[in-house]
Amino acid sequence: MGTVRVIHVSERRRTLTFWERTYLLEVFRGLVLTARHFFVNLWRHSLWLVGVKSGPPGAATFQYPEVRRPQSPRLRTLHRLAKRPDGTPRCVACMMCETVCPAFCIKIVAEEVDDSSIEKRPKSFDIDIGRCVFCGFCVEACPEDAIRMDTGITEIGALSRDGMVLNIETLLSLPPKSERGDKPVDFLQQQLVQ
Amino acid sequence: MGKTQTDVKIREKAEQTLPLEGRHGNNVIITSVDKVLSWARQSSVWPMSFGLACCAIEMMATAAGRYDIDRFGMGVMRASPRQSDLMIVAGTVTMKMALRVKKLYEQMPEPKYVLSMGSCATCGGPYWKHGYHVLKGVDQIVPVDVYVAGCPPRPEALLEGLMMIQEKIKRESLLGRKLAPVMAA
Amino acid sequence: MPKLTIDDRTIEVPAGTTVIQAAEKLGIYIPRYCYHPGLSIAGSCRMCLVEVEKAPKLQIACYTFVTDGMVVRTTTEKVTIARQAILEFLLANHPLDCPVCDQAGECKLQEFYMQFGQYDSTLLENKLKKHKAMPIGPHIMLDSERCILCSRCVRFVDEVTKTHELGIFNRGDHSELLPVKGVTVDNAYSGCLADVCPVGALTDRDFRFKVRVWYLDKTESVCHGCARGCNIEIHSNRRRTHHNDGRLIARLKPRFNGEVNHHWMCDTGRYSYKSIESDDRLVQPLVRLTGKGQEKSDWTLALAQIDEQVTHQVGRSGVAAAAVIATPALSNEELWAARGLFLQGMKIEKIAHRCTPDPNGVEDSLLRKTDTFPNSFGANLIIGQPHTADPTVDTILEAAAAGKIKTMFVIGGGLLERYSTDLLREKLRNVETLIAIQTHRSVLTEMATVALPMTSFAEMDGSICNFEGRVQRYNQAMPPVGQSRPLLDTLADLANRWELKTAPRQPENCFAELAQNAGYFAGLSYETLGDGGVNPSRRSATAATT
Repeated sequence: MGTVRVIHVSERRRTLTFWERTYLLEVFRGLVLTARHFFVNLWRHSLWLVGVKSGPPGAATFQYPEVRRPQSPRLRTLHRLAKRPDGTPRCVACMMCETVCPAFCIKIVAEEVDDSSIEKRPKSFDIDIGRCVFCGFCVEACPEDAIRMDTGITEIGALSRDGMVLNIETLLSLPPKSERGDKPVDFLQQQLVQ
Repeated sequence: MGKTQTDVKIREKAEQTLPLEGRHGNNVIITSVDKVLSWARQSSVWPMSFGLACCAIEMMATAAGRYDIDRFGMGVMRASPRQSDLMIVAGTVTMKMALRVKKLYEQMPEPKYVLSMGSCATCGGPYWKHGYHVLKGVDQIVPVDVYVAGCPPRPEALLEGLMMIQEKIKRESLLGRKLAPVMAA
Repeated sequence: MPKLTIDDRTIEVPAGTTVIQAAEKLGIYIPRYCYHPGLSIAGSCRMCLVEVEKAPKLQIACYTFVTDGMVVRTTTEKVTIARQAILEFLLANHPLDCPVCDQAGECKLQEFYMQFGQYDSTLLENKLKKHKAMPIGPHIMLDSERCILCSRCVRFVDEVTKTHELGIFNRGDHSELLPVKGVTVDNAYSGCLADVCPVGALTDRDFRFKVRVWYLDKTESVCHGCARGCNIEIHSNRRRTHHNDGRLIARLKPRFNGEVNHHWMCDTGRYSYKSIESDDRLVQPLVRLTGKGQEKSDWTLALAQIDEQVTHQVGRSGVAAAAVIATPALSNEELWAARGLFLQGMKIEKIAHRCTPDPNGVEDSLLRKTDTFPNSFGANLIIGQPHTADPTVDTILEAAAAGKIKTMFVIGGGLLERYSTDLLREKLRNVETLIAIQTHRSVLTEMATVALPMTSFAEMDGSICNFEGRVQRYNQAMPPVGQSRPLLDTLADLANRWELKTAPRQPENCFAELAQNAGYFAGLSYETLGDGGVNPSRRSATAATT
């Protein structure tokens, strides 16, 4: 065991000067520090606003909704169902995502397909976004790379609980972020605000 | 170059035929009381942030520098329900807390709004199936105006939800608190 | 008897046992594809290779007979490498069908691969293409790409059903399981082909894409299709109710019982689960008030009506004009409660269970019996009276047509298969108070003064006796459909109203009471019946009721 090395108060603090002991000076020095940050940022931001300065803006605020923060490509956003090159959905209703979902929010009903090389497809595919915890397990579990969380849509608000259940048509028609860029997705909003 | 007599005459004649909005140029703005009141109300919604769990962190992030909610007028976060307009239920509502949520909601003065933030407040979240201790959705005890999905919702999502509240307020009429028809995208 | 050691555990087994059987006795499962205890031994898959001391190469456990002093090891490195090699060959041409294959979750390839598969594939060639999703019979779908050529199905149709519909054609890589040209696999046991197939090559068309097997719960039960009483498992889906069209029961599978059905069950019984949740189930009581038509009602009103009407009618025309039909579709407990209430309590002598035989009943050398009532033996013991005035359902119907029966109770199903709708309508026209306690809607419930819904065998515990006298118990697999109630509860409620002695409401206690009073069931209880049932007639010679 031995003795524990303790830092004594006397080692840490030195005796204060007279002005430091009045304390008001230190308060003023602190205020000067904050004010300096404020005015420097204000100056930088004003220059950036008028276009003179091109570097980072002084204020760190993203002026949402006009300016959006750049997203990482790995960010788990709203789901979409991918399609094969010929337009049919990749999903074969294997129920892996439904089984692994920890929030039990995916509901799939399977049906048969005439094409015997594919055999199965989803008749209905509902995701209750209100229940979803955006964990990404469904994306990991899918053997067909059908469900992906790369739409880049993070803003999901609705006026009722039922409005948050997305069906297969909506999920199939959502574009990935790489295609959409910054354009908003209108029909999604319309579906959500039922 | 001053105005000639002809100019003045043309102007007078024009003003007599134009509707009220056109007559005074840019000196007068015509609007309705409803719109002014709504604009005033929607631009200063004071939230009582009910941060219960992880969503509270995202709410704090929304209130902080990067996604300032003070730009929307919602920066004044009141701790007291008696001074707030909007209750943002952020987090899991347990059965124990549910009584308190209801009490605080009733202490808020009208007109009041509720925003259900995150999966837990919307429907119990990941605990909806087996959580014996969780209230499956805060709308079982208070009427919710807007639901925001996510676990937790990103600050952008919460801001979108707050903008939806603002839209809702915008469509309210002075004469009655009738809800406006469904808003378009 | 030879004594051998498997994985350092010794066991003594009769001569002629194979190593795989001896290992199973010890609880050691040796992986296998082609070996099936109900079929002849093929020895073709080579999956059950084990290391036998003093043998230079690995031996197959399914066809190696035990010798005294044999030492077998099933978990050595040599054995694991052999199993990996077999799996590598089998998986070389096996299609990547797991997401769409119904066998996922109960597939032996998946199981053994997860246990010790060669996890890194070294296959660079293209896989062979064979027939996909080919229906070969009314109940079976074939996918020859998935077949691993274990030949279990070929041996099944050759040895068990003796219908010879399947064969393995071509050689080498192109070997393919196919039905014989021009033949459909429509024997009476074709559903068992989906059971024997260890992979998804032969699948049940009826179960196709309905629900994933890992959502299913298994309940041990007994088939009510005929007097054989095959042991079954009811697979029910209560976790994902949006699958399987909202129905709870997904399928029935046979359970092994060496005394009754071995490993098999017939198609009629297998697909009989559909009637349990069919649309024509009676789901709420129906009451016909005087002067009005039949109306939907609730239990309180219905029971009150029965009380009033029956008391009134019996008071007026007497007990001699009352009759009860309790079909042998009911369980032992239900029959005992019916006997207690009607015969002993209300003193109704005309209580019948013997009907005309079902014209659809088929007898074959394997499992099926012509008697399609599951509990005729039990009904005979419990209801059947050993004196000459033993009425049959026919005599009661005749008496009813002649106007001699004014009050009648019809309990249990199975009458519609034996008597036509018009016949029943004609015979029961003159019955003034008809109380029908049924599972399904029919002419009986239409004509009834009061119709009460009853639970089927899947919704309540009970026991039945098969044609040999074997008493087997079955378990509840799902909650009652609609507002139906177990018959024991209904009869106890009625008995309470008439202040008669009630039989216990719980099937277990009711059976205990039955065992105390009926000589045949003496000494039996649900615990002693266990999973496989007990046949008292093989123990004792006499079997009589009190």
